[in-house]
Amino acid sequence: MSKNREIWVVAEQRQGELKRITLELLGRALSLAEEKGSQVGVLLMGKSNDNLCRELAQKGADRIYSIEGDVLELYNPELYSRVVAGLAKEFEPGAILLGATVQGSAVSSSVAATLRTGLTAHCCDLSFSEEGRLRQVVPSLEGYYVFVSHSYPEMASVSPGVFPLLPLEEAGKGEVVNRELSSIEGCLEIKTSVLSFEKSVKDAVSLEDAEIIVAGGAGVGSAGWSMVEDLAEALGGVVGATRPAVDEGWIGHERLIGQSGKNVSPKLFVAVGVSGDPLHLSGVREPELFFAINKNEKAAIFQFADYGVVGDYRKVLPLLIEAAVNSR
Amino acid sequence: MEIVVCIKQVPDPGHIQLDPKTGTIIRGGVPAIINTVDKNALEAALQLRKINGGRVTVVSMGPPSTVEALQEALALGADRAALASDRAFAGADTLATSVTLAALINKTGPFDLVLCGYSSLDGGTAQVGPQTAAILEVPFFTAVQKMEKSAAGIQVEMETEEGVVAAESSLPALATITKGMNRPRGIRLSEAKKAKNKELFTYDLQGLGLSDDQVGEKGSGVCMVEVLPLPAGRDAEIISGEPEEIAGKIQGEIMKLGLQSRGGNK
Repeated sequence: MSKNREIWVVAEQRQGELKRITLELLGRALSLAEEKGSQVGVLLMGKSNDNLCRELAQKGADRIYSIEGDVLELYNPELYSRVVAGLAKEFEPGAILLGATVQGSAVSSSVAATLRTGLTAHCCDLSFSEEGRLRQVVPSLEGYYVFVSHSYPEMASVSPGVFPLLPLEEAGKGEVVNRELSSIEGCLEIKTSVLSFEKSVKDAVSLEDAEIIVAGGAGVGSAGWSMVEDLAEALGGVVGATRPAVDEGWIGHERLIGQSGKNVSPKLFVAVGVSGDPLHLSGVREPELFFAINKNEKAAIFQFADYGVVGDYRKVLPLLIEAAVNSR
Repeated sequence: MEIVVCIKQVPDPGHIQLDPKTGTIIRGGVPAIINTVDKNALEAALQLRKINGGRVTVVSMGPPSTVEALQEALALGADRAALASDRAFAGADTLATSVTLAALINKTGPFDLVLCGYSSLDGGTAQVGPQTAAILEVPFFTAVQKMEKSAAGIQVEMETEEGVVAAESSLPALATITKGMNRPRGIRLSEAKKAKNKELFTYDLQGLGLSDDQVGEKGSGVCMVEVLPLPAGRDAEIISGEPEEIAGKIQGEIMKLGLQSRGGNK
Protein backbone atom coordinates (compact mmCIF):
# COMPACT_ATOMS: atom_id res chain seq x y z
CA MET A 1 0.00 0.00 0.00
CA SER A 2 2.95 2.29 0.51
CA LYS A 3 4.47 1.55 -2.85
CA ASN A 4 3.84 4.90 -4.42
CA ARG A 5 3.94 7.03 -1.36
CA GLU A 6 6.46 9.83 -1.51
CA ILE A 7 9.74 9.85 0.34
CA TRP A 8 10.00 13.17 2.15
CA VAL A 9 13.00 15.20 3.16
CA VAL A 10 12.49 17.94 5.71
CA ALA A 11 14.78 20.75 4.56
CA GLU A 12 16.87 22.81 6.94
CA GLN A 13 17.72 26.36 5.97
CA ARG A 14 19.55 29.11 7.76
CA GLN A 15 19.16 32.68 6.57
CA GLY A 16 17.97 31.61 3.15
CA GLU A 17 20.60 28.95 2.53
CA LEU A 18 20.00 25.22 2.49
CA LYS A 19 22.14 23.28 4.89
CA ARG A 20 24.40 20.67 3.33
CA ILE A 21 22.60 17.82 5.11
CA THR A 22 19.40 18.66 3.20
CA LEU A 23 21.14 18.10 -0.13
CA GLU A 24 22.76 14.92 1.16
CA LEU A 25 19.32 13.63 2.15
CA LEU A 26 17.80 14.70 -1.15
CA GLY A 27 20.43 12.70 -3.03
CA ARG A 28 19.73 9.57 -1.03
CA ALA A 29 15.97 10.04 -1.19
CA LEU A 30 16.15 10.28 -5.00
CA SER A 31 18.00 6.99 -5.31
CA LEU A 32 15.65 5.29 -2.83
CA ALA A 33 12.62 6.62 -4.72
CA GLU A 34 14.00 5.41 -8.02
CA GLU A 35 14.46 1.96 -6.56
CA LYS A 36 10.89 1.95 -5.30
CA GLY A 37 9.21 3.70 -8.19
CA SER A 38 8.02 6.54 -5.98
CA GLN A 39 8.78 10.25 -5.83
CA VAL A 40 10.61 12.66 -3.57
CA GLY A 41 8.95 15.53 -1.76
CA VAL A 42 10.88 18.20 0.10
CA LEU A 43 9.22 20.10 2.89
CA LEU A 44 10.55 23.65 3.08
CA MET A 45 9.74 26.17 5.80
CA GLY A 46 11.04 29.73 5.68
CA LYS A 47 10.31 33.41 5.36
CA SER A 48 10.52 33.55 1.59
CA ASN A 49 11.18 30.34 -0.29
CA ASP A 50 11.26 31.16 -4.02
CA ASN A 51 15.00 30.76 -4.52
CA LEU A 52 15.26 27.61 -2.49
CA CYS A 53 12.26 26.05 -4.24
CA ARG A 54 14.00 26.64 -7.55
CA GLU A 55 17.24 25.15 -6.23
CA LEU A 56 15.49 22.07 -4.86
CA ALA A 57 13.59 21.55 -8.12
CA GLN A 58 16.84 21.81 -10.08
CA LYS A 59 18.43 19.26 -7.83
CA GLY A 60 15.75 16.71 -8.60
CA ALA A 61 12.97 17.05 -6.02
CA ASP A 62 9.68 16.00 -7.61
CA ARG A 63 7.55 18.13 -5.34
CA ILE A 64 8.41 20.95 -2.96
CA TYR A 65 5.93 21.66 -0.20
CA SER A 66 6.59 25.30 0.53
CA ILE A 67 5.28 26.95 3.67
CA GLU A 68 6.15 30.61 4.05
CA GLY A 69 5.76 33.03 6.91
CA ASP A 70 7.70 35.55 8.98
CA VAL A 71 7.33 33.22 11.97
CA LEU A 72 9.06 30.46 10.00
CA GLU A 73 12.25 32.44 9.40
CA LEU A 74 13.90 31.12 12.55
CA TYR A 75 13.77 27.60 13.94
CA ASN A 76 10.81 27.21 16.29
CA PRO A 77 10.68 23.61 17.54
CA GLU A 78 6.98 23.59 18.34
CA LEU A 79 5.85 25.30 15.15
CA TYR A 80 8.17 23.41 12.81
CA SER A 81 7.01 20.12 14.32
CA ARG A 82 3.35 21.05 13.91
CA VAL A 83 3.90 21.93 10.26
CA VAL A 84 5.65 18.64 9.47
CA ALA A 85 3.12 16.55 11.41
CA GLY A 86 0.17 18.42 9.89
CA LEU A 87 1.39 17.99 6.33
CA ALA A 88 2.32 14.35 6.95
CA LYS A 89 -1.28 13.69 8.07
CA GLU A 90 -2.61 15.41 4.96
CA PHE A 91 -0.30 13.91 2.32
CA GLU A 92 0.65 10.59 3.97
CA PRO A 93 4.25 10.17 2.80
CA GLY A 94 5.78 6.68 3.03
CA ALA A 95 8.96 7.90 4.71
CA ILE A 96 10.27 11.10 6.26
CA LEU A 97 14.01 11.79 6.46
CA LEU A 98 15.62 14.54 8.52
CA GLY A 99 19.17 15.43 9.47
CA ALA A 100 20.47 14.21 12.83
CA THR A 101 21.07 17.82 13.81
CA VAL A 102 19.74 19.63 16.87
CA GLN A 103 16.78 20.81 14.81
CA GLY A 104 16.24 17.56 12.92
CA SER A 105 16.41 15.46 16.10
CA ALA A 106 13.89 17.67 17.87
CA VAL A 107 11.44 17.93 14.97
CA SER A 108 11.66 14.24 14.00
CA SER A 109 11.02 13.18 17.60
CA SER A 110 8.03 15.42 18.07
CA VAL A 111 6.51 14.44 14.72
CA ALA A 112 7.06 10.70 15.22
CA ALA A 113 5.44 10.81 18.66
CA THR A 114 2.52 12.88 17.37
CA LEU A 115 1.97 10.40 14.54
CA ARG A 116 2.72 7.46 16.89
CA THR A 117 5.16 6.04 14.37
CA GLY A 118 8.69 4.63 14.63
CA LEU A 119 11.85 6.73 14.45
CA THR A 120 15.55 5.96 14.43
CA ALA A 121 18.40 8.37 15.14
CA HIS A 122 21.85 8.94 13.63
CA CYS A 123 21.37 6.57 10.71
CA CYS A 124 24.51 5.93 8.66
CA ASP A 125 22.75 4.05 5.87
CA LEU A 126 19.27 3.58 4.44
CA SER A 127 18.06 1.03 1.93
CA PHE A 128 14.91 -0.96 1.13
CA SER A 129 14.47 -4.58 2.10
CA GLU A 130 12.99 -7.10 -0.31
CA GLU A 131 9.63 -6.53 1.36
CA GLY A 132 9.99 -2.81 0.68
CA ARG A 133 10.64 -1.77 4.27
CA LEU A 134 13.12 0.99 4.96
CA ARG A 135 16.19 -0.56 6.57
CA GLN A 136 17.59 2.02 8.97
CA VAL A 137 21.20 1.33 9.91
CA VAL A 138 22.45 2.78 13.18
CA PRO A 139 26.00 2.44 14.53
CA SER A 140 26.35 0.90 17.98
CA LEU A 141 29.05 -0.46 20.23
CA GLU A 142 28.43 -3.98 18.99
CA GLY A 143 28.09 -3.35 15.30
CA TYR A 144 25.47 -1.79 13.08
CA TYR A 145 21.90 -2.25 14.24
CA VAL A 146 19.35 -2.52 11.44
CA PHE A 147 15.86 -1.29 12.36
CA VAL A 148 12.58 -1.34 10.51
CA SER A 149 9.42 0.55 11.44
CA HIS A 150 6.09 -1.10 12.21
CA SER A 151 4.04 1.67 10.62
CA TYR A 152 4.12 4.52 8.11
CA PRO A 153 5.59 7.00 7.70
CA GLU A 154 8.93 5.32 8.33
CA MET A 155 11.02 8.03 9.96
CA ALA A 156 14.77 8.41 10.37
CA SER A 157 17.27 11.09 11.24
CA VAL A 158 20.50 10.73 9.30
CA SER A 159 23.97 11.78 10.41
CA PRO A 160 25.46 14.63 8.37
CA GLY A 161 28.30 13.61 6.09
CA VAL A 162 27.31 10.00 5.35
CA PHE A 163 25.66 10.50 1.96
CA PRO A 164 27.49 12.27 -0.87
CA LEU A 165 26.27 15.46 -2.49
CA LEU A 166 24.72 15.06 -5.93
CA PRO A 167 25.91 17.07 -8.89
CA LEU A 168 23.45 19.77 -9.90
CA GLU A 169 20.93 18.63 -12.50
CA GLU A 170 19.67 21.64 -14.39
CA ALA A 171 16.81 19.66 -15.86
CA GLY A 172 14.66 19.44 -12.74
CA LYS A 173 10.96 20.03 -13.19
CA GLY A 174 9.85 19.86 -9.58
CA GLU A 175 6.38 21.10 -8.80
CA VAL A 176 5.90 23.60 -5.96
CA VAL A 177 2.94 23.03 -3.66
CA ASN A 178 2.28 26.14 -1.57
CA ARG A 179 0.45 25.75 1.73
CA GLU A 180 -0.72 28.52 4.02
CA LEU A 181 0.44 28.12 7.58
CA SER A 182 -3.08 28.85 8.80
CA SER A 183 -4.43 25.88 6.84
CA ILE A 184 -2.20 23.36 8.61
CA GLU A 185 -3.66 21.58 11.60
CA GLY A 186 -2.57 23.00 14.94
CA CYS A 187 -0.42 25.83 13.58
CA LEU A 188 -2.57 28.64 14.95
CA GLU A 189 -2.30 27.55 18.57
CA ILE A 190 1.47 27.79 18.95
CA LYS A 191 2.70 28.67 22.41
CA THR A 192 6.35 29.22 21.47
CA SER A 193 7.78 32.48 20.15
CA VAL A 194 11.34 32.79 18.92
CA LEU A 195 13.09 35.93 20.14
CA SER A 196 16.49 35.98 18.42
CA PHE A 197 19.22 34.02 16.68
CA GLU A 198 22.87 34.67 17.34
CA LYS A 199 25.21 33.12 14.82
CA SER A 200 28.29 31.46 16.27
CA VAL A 201 31.75 32.19 14.99
CA LYS A 202 33.00 29.47 12.66
CA ASP A 203 36.40 27.86 12.90
CA ALA A 204 38.91 28.59 10.15
CA VAL A 205 39.17 24.93 9.13
CA SER A 206 36.20 22.77 9.97
CA LEU A 207 36.59 19.23 11.21
CA GLU A 208 34.63 17.92 8.20
CA ASP A 209 37.07 19.49 5.74
CA ALA A 210 40.28 18.75 7.64
CA GLU A 211 42.94 16.54 6.01
CA ILE A 212 44.77 16.00 9.28
CA ILE A 213 42.99 15.23 12.54
CA VAL A 214 44.43 14.43 15.94
CA ALA A 215 41.65 13.05 18.11
CA GLY A 216 41.83 12.73 21.88
CA GLY A 217 39.80 10.38 24.06
CA ALA A 218 39.18 9.47 27.67
CA GLY A 219 42.71 8.14 28.06
CA VAL A 220 44.24 11.58 27.56
CA GLY A 221 43.12 13.24 30.80
CA SER A 222 42.72 16.94 31.40
CA ALA A 223 46.36 17.54 32.30
CA GLY A 224 47.70 16.20 29.01
CA TRP A 225 45.02 17.54 26.69
CA SER A 226 47.13 20.47 25.52
CA MET A 227 49.58 17.95 24.05
CA VAL A 228 46.85 16.69 21.70
CA GLU A 229 46.22 20.27 20.60
CA ASP A 230 49.93 20.94 20.18
CA LEU A 231 50.38 17.89 17.98
CA ALA A 232 47.42 18.90 15.82
CA GLU A 233 48.91 22.35 15.44
CA ALA A 234 52.39 21.04 14.70
CA LEU A 235 51.01 18.74 11.99
CA GLY A 236 48.92 21.54 10.52
CA GLY A 237 45.71 19.77 11.40
CA VAL A 238 42.75 20.16 13.69
CA VAL A 239 41.70 18.59 16.97
CA GLY A 240 38.85 16.12 17.28
CA ALA A 241 37.47 14.36 20.32
CA THR A 242 35.45 11.42 21.55
CA ARG A 243 32.33 11.64 23.68
CA PRO A 244 34.12 11.22 27.07
CA ALA A 245 36.59 14.02 26.26
CA VAL A 246 33.72 16.33 25.36
CA ASP A 247 31.70 15.28 28.40
CA GLU A 248 34.67 15.97 30.65
CA GLY A 249 34.81 19.47 29.20
CA TRP A 250 38.37 19.18 27.84
CA ILE A 251 37.09 20.49 24.52
CA GLY A 252 33.87 21.86 23.04
CA HIS A 253 31.04 19.76 21.63
CA GLU A 254 31.73 21.11 18.13
CA ARG A 255 34.86 18.89 18.11
CA LEU A 256 32.98 15.65 18.74
CA ILE A 257 33.51 12.97 16.08
CA GLY A 258 30.98 10.15 15.70
CA GLN A 259 27.47 9.75 16.98
CA SER A 260 25.72 13.10 17.57
CA GLY A 261 28.93 14.74 16.37
CA LYS A 262 30.75 15.17 13.07
CA ASN A 263 31.62 12.70 10.35
CA VAL A 264 35.15 13.26 9.12
CA SER A 265 37.25 11.98 6.22
CA PRO A 266 40.83 13.02 6.86
CA LYS A 267 43.91 11.69 5.09
CA LEU A 268 45.77 11.37 8.38
CA PHE A 269 44.04 10.39 11.60
CA VAL A 270 45.91 10.12 14.89
CA ALA A 271 43.89 8.72 17.81
CA VAL A 272 45.35 9.43 21.24
CA GLY A 273 43.90 7.68 24.29
CA VAL A 274 40.90 6.61 22.20
CA SER A 275 39.43 3.21 23.08
CA GLY A 276 37.95 2.49 19.66
CA ASP A 277 34.26 2.74 20.49
CA PRO A 278 32.32 2.21 17.22
CA LEU A 279 30.10 5.19 18.05
CA HIS A 280 33.20 7.32 17.61
CA LEU A 281 34.83 5.37 14.79
CA SER A 282 31.64 5.34 12.74
CA GLY A 283 32.33 9.04 12.22
CA VAL A 284 35.82 8.45 10.81
CA ARG A 285 35.70 7.59 7.13
CA GLU A 286 38.60 5.73 5.50
CA PRO A 287 41.67 7.73 6.48
CA GLU A 288 44.68 6.97 4.30
CA LEU A 289 46.89 6.69 7.36
CA PHE A 290 45.59 5.87 10.82
CA PHE A 291 47.72 5.85 13.98
CA ALA A 292 46.52 4.84 17.43
CA ILE A 293 48.30 5.45 20.70
CA ASN A 294 46.81 3.78 23.75
CA LYS A 295 48.25 2.33 26.91
CA ASN A 296 45.81 -0.60 26.86
CA GLU A 297 47.12 -3.22 24.44
CA LYS A 298 43.63 -4.75 24.21
CA ALA A 299 41.97 -1.49 23.16
CA ALA A 300 39.69 -2.05 20.16
CA ILE A 301 41.27 0.91 18.38
CA PHE A 302 44.23 -1.30 17.44
CA GLN A 303 41.96 -3.41 15.27
CA PHE A 304 41.16 -0.40 13.13
CA ALA A 305 44.41 1.55 12.91
CA ASP A 306 47.27 1.00 10.46
CA TYR A 307 49.89 1.46 13.15
CA GLY A 308 49.56 1.19 16.90
CA VAL A 309 51.69 2.32 19.79
CA VAL A 310 51.04 0.58 23.10
CA GLY A 311 52.18 2.93 25.79
CA ASP A 312 52.04 6.30 27.45
CA TYR A 313 51.23 9.00 24.91
CA ARG A 314 53.03 11.55 27.07
CA LYS A 315 56.34 9.94 26.18
CA VAL A 316 55.71 9.87 22.43
CA LEU A 317 53.73 13.03 21.69
CA PRO A 318 56.41 15.58 22.69
CA LEU A 319 58.86 13.87 20.31
CA LEU A 320 56.28 13.78 17.53
CA ILE A 321 55.47 17.45 18.05
CA GLU A 322 59.15 18.34 17.86
CA ALA A 323 59.67 16.23 14.73
CA ALA A 324 56.62 17.75 13.05
CA VAL A 325 57.71 21.30 13.84
CA ASN A 326 61.23 20.61 12.56
CA SER A 327 60.01 19.08 9.31
CA ARG A 328 58.00 22.13 8.24
CA MET B 1 6.62 25.88 40.48
CA GLU B 2 6.02 22.16 39.95
CA ILE B 3 9.08 20.75 38.15
CA VAL B 4 9.51 17.16 36.96
CA VAL B 5 12.96 15.85 36.08
CA CYS B 6 13.29 12.70 33.96
CA ILE B 7 16.40 10.67 34.66
CA LYS B 8 17.80 7.49 33.18
CA GLN B 9 20.01 4.90 34.79
CA VAL B 10 22.74 3.85 32.33
CA PRO B 11 25.75 1.52 32.41
CA ASP B 12 28.89 3.46 33.35
CA PRO B 13 30.60 3.91 29.95
CA GLY B 14 34.00 3.66 31.60
CA HIS B 15 33.26 0.05 32.51
CA ILE B 16 31.71 -1.24 29.29
CA GLN B 17 33.72 -3.98 27.62
CA LEU B 18 33.20 -6.01 24.52
CA ASP B 19 33.57 -9.76 24.49
CA PRO B 20 36.68 -10.22 22.32
CA LYS B 21 35.25 -13.41 20.79
CA THR B 22 31.66 -12.43 20.01
CA GLY B 23 32.05 -8.65 19.80
CA THR B 24 28.97 -8.18 21.96
CA ILE B 25 28.76 -6.08 25.10
CA ILE B 26 29.47 -7.93 28.35
CA ARG B 27 26.29 -7.00 30.25
CA GLY B 28 27.07 -8.30 33.71
CA GLY B 29 29.04 -6.48 36.37
CA VAL B 30 28.87 -3.01 34.84
CA PRO B 31 28.02 -0.39 37.50
CA ALA B 32 24.97 1.76 36.80
CA ILE B 33 25.05 5.55 37.08
CA ILE B 34 22.62 8.41 36.54
CA ASN B 35 23.06 9.52 32.93
CA THR B 36 25.47 12.40 33.48
CA VAL B 37 23.61 15.19 31.69
CA ASP B 38 20.43 14.27 33.59
CA LYS B 39 22.23 15.60 36.65
CA ASN B 40 22.50 18.95 34.89
CA ALA B 41 18.72 18.83 34.38
CA LEU B 42 18.23 18.07 38.07
CA GLU B 43 20.60 20.88 39.02
CA ALA B 44 18.63 23.29 36.81
CA ALA B 45 15.42 22.21 38.53
CA LEU B 46 16.89 22.69 42.00
CA GLN B 47 18.10 26.17 41.05
CA LEU B 48 14.68 27.11 39.63
CA ARG B 49 13.07 25.90 42.85
CA LYS B 50 15.43 28.04 44.89
CA ILE B 51 14.45 31.17 42.97
CA ASN B 52 10.76 30.48 42.37
CA GLY B 53 9.80 28.07 45.13
CA GLY B 54 7.86 24.91 44.45
CA ARG B 55 8.68 21.25 44.24
CA VAL B 56 11.00 18.98 42.26
CA THR B 57 9.77 15.49 41.35
CA VAL B 58 12.23 13.09 39.77
CA VAL B 59 10.90 10.28 37.57
CA SER B 60 12.35 7.31 35.70
CA MET B 61 11.43 4.11 33.89
CA GLY B 62 13.46 0.98 34.44
CA PRO B 63 13.91 -2.24 36.39
CA PRO B 64 13.40 -2.16 40.18
CA SER B 65 17.11 -1.39 40.68
CA THR B 66 16.46 2.04 39.15
CA VAL B 67 15.32 2.98 42.66
CA GLU B 68 19.01 3.55 43.42
CA ALA B 69 19.23 6.32 40.86
CA LEU B 70 16.06 7.92 42.21
CA GLN B 71 17.39 7.70 45.77
CA GLU B 72 20.55 9.44 44.64
CA ALA B 73 18.43 12.21 43.09
CA LEU B 74 16.50 12.57 46.35
CA ALA B 75 19.79 12.80 48.24
CA LEU B 76 20.85 15.53 45.84
CA GLY B 77 17.78 17.54 46.80
CA ALA B 78 14.74 16.42 44.80
CA ASP B 79 11.53 16.45 46.88
CA ARG B 80 9.96 13.19 45.74
CA ALA B 81 10.42 10.44 43.19
CA ALA B 82 8.35 8.10 41.04
CA LEU B 83 9.39 4.99 39.13
CA ALA B 84 7.62 3.19 36.31
CA SER B 85 8.64 -0.44 36.56
CA ASP B 86 7.04 -3.51 35.00
CA ARG B 87 8.25 -6.42 32.90
CA ALA B 88 5.89 -5.17 30.21
CA PHE B 89 8.07 -2.04 29.80
CA ALA B 90 11.10 -4.10 28.70
CA GLY B 91 12.40 -3.68 25.17
CA ALA B 92 10.84 -0.23 24.75
CA ASP B 93 12.10 2.04 21.98
CA THR B 94 12.01 5.80 22.51
CA LEU B 95 8.33 6.05 21.54
CA ALA B 96 7.15 3.42 24.03
CA THR B 97 9.46 4.92 26.66
CA SER B 98 7.96 8.35 26.09
CA VAL B 99 4.40 7.03 26.33
CA THR B 100 5.30 5.42 29.66
CA LEU B 101 7.11 8.49 31.01
CA ALA B 102 4.26 10.78 29.98
CA ALA B 103 1.79 8.57 31.84
CA LEU B 104 4.07 8.57 34.89
CA ILE B 105 4.45 12.36 34.79
CA ASN B 106 0.68 12.80 34.57
CA LYS B 107 0.32 10.40 37.49
CA THR B 108 2.48 12.64 39.69
CA GLY B 109 0.02 15.51 39.22
CA PRO B 110 -0.16 18.85 37.38
CA PHE B 111 3.25 20.23 36.38
CA ASP B 112 4.71 23.50 35.11
CA LEU B 113 7.96 22.27 33.65
CA VAL B 114 9.51 18.94 32.66
CA LEU B 115 13.31 18.80 32.35
CA CYS B 116 15.41 16.04 30.78
CA GLY B 117 19.07 15.64 29.87
CA TYR B 118 19.75 16.33 26.19
CA SER B 119 20.70 12.75 25.38
CA SER B 120 21.73 9.53 27.08
CA LEU B 121 25.17 7.99 27.22
CA ASP B 122 23.89 4.62 26.02
CA GLY B 123 21.21 5.11 23.36
CA GLY B 124 22.12 8.70 22.66
CA THR B 125 19.14 9.42 20.43
CA ALA B 126 18.07 12.72 22.08
CA GLN B 127 14.50 11.63 21.21
CA VAL B 128 12.79 10.84 24.49
CA GLY B 129 12.54 14.47 25.67
CA PRO B 130 10.79 15.89 22.61
CA GLN B 131 8.72 12.71 22.15
CA THR B 132 7.48 12.97 25.73
CA ALA B 133 6.58 16.62 25.11
CA ALA B 134 4.53 15.61 22.06
CA ILE B 135 2.61 12.99 24.03
CA LEU B 136 2.03 15.43 26.91
CA GLU B 137 1.04 17.98 24.23
CA VAL B 138 3.20 20.76 25.65
CA PRO B 139 5.66 23.10 23.88
CA PHE B 140 9.29 22.03 24.06
CA PHE B 141 12.89 23.16 23.66
CA THR B 142 15.97 21.00 23.15
CA ALA B 143 19.69 21.52 23.82
CA VAL B 144 18.93 24.32 26.28
CA GLN B 145 22.03 25.98 27.72
CA LYS B 146 20.31 28.81 29.61
CA MET B 147 16.84 29.07 31.10
CA GLU B 148 14.83 31.35 33.36
CA LYS B 149 11.27 31.90 34.40
CA SER B 150 9.73 34.82 32.54
CA ALA B 151 6.45 36.72 32.59
CA ALA B 152 5.15 34.57 29.74
CA GLY B 153 6.36 31.31 31.29
CA ILE B 154 9.87 30.19 30.47
CA GLN B 155 12.64 31.77 28.42
CA VAL B 156 15.48 29.65 27.03
CA GLU B 157 18.57 29.66 24.86
CA MET B 158 18.93 26.62 22.59
CA GLU B 159 22.30 25.56 21.19
CA THR B 160 22.23 24.68 17.49
CA GLU B 161 25.06 23.91 15.06
CA GLU B 162 24.94 27.45 13.66
CA GLY B 163 24.37 29.47 16.80
CA VAL B 164 22.06 30.18 19.69
CA VAL B 165 18.28 30.51 19.33
CA ALA B 166 16.52 32.40 22.13
CA ALA B 167 12.85 31.51 22.58
CA GLU B 168 9.99 31.69 25.01
CA SER B 169 6.80 29.79 25.75
CA SER B 170 4.00 29.59 28.24
CA LEU B 171 3.89 26.84 30.86
CA PRO B 172 3.56 23.92 31.06
CA ALA B 173 6.52 23.14 28.82
CA LEU B 174 9.41 20.67 28.48
CA ALA B 175 13.11 21.36 27.98
CA THR B 176 16.15 19.16 27.44
CA ILE B 177 19.29 20.49 29.09
CA THR B 178 22.95 20.43 27.96
CA LYS B 179 26.09 20.18 30.05
CA GLY B 180 26.86 23.83 29.47
CA MET B 181 23.90 24.87 31.60
CA ASN B 182 25.46 24.43 35.04
CA ARG B 183 27.75 22.36 37.23
CA PRO B 184 25.77 19.70 39.08
CA ARG B 185 26.22 19.73 42.85
CA GLY B 186 27.55 16.79 44.82
CA ILE B 187 25.64 15.09 47.62
CA ARG B 188 25.59 17.06 50.87
CA LEU B 189 25.24 15.11 54.08
CA SER B 190 22.44 17.30 55.44
CA GLU B 191 20.38 16.76 52.27
CA ALA B 192 21.18 13.05 52.09
CA LYS B 193 19.89 12.50 55.64
CA LYS B 194 16.51 13.94 54.65
CA ALA B 195 16.25 11.66 51.63
CA LYS B 196 15.01 8.56 53.41
CA ASN B 197 11.92 10.38 54.62
CA LYS B 198 10.98 11.47 51.11
CA GLU B 199 8.26 9.76 49.08
CA LEU B 200 9.24 7.30 46.36
CA PHE B 201 6.30 5.85 44.41
CA THR B 202 6.46 2.86 42.08
CA TYR B 203 3.86 2.24 39.39
CA ASP B 204 3.36 -0.80 37.21
CA LEU B 205 1.52 -1.04 33.90
CA GLN B 206 -1.88 -1.12 35.52
CA GLY B 207 -1.00 1.61 37.99
CA LEU B 208 -0.27 3.93 35.08
CA GLY B 209 -3.49 3.03 33.32
CA LEU B 210 -1.67 1.81 30.22
CA SER B 211 -2.24 -1.31 28.16
CA ASP B 212 0.55 -3.67 27.17
CA ASP B 213 0.33 -2.80 23.47
CA GLN B 214 1.31 0.82 24.27
CA VAL B 215 4.53 0.01 26.10
CA GLY B 216 7.71 -2.06 25.93
CA GLU B 217 8.55 -4.01 22.81
CA LYS B 218 4.90 -4.27 21.75
CA GLY B 219 4.37 -0.52 21.94
CA SER B 220 7.56 0.29 20.07
CA GLY B 221 7.52 1.93 16.65
CA VAL B 222 10.67 0.21 15.44
CA CYS B 223 12.25 -3.18 15.89
CA MET B 224 15.77 -4.38 15.35
CA VAL B 225 15.96 -7.02 12.63
CA GLU B 226 19.67 -7.57 12.22
CA VAL B 227 23.07 -6.67 13.60
CA LEU B 228 25.70 -6.13 10.93
CA PRO B 229 29.31 -6.67 11.94
CA LEU B 230 31.63 -3.72 12.02
CA PRO B 231 33.84 -3.51 8.95
CA ALA B 232 37.00 -5.54 9.25
CA GLY B 233 39.75 -3.48 10.76
CA ARG B 234 43.20 -2.95 9.37
CA ASP B 235 44.67 -4.73 12.37
CA ALA B 236 47.38 -2.31 13.37
CA GLU B 237 51.04 -3.11 13.12
CA ILE B 238 52.33 -2.38 16.60
CA ILE B 239 55.34 -0.10 16.66
CA SER B 240 57.58 -0.79 19.61
CA GLY B 241 60.91 0.45 20.84
CA GLU B 242 62.19 3.55 22.57
CA PRO B 243 59.96 6.63 22.32
CA GLU B 244 62.49 8.20 19.92
CA GLU B 245 62.29 5.22 17.56
CA ILE B 246 58.50 5.20 17.73
CA ALA B 247 58.26 8.90 17.00
CA GLY B 248 60.75 8.53 14.15
CA LYS B 249 58.77 5.70 12.55
CA ILE B 250 55.48 7.61 12.81
CA GLN B 251 57.06 10.75 11.41
CA GLY B 252 58.46 8.70 8.53
CA GLU B 253 55.05 7.27 7.65
CA ILE B 254 53.48 10.73 7.81
CA MET B 255 56.17 12.09 5.47
CA LYS B 256 55.43 9.28 3.00
CA LEU B 257 51.83 10.41 2.88
CA GLY B 258 53.10 13.68 1.42
CA LEU B 259 50.60 16.03 2.98
CA GLN B 260 51.10 19.74 2.69
CA SER B 261 51.33 21.24 6.14
CA ARG B 262 49.20 24.32 6.19
CA GLY B 263 50.63 25.70 9.37
CA GLY B 264 49.00 25.64 12.74
CA ASN B 265 45.28 25.67 13.13
CA LYS B 266 43.85 24.76 16.46
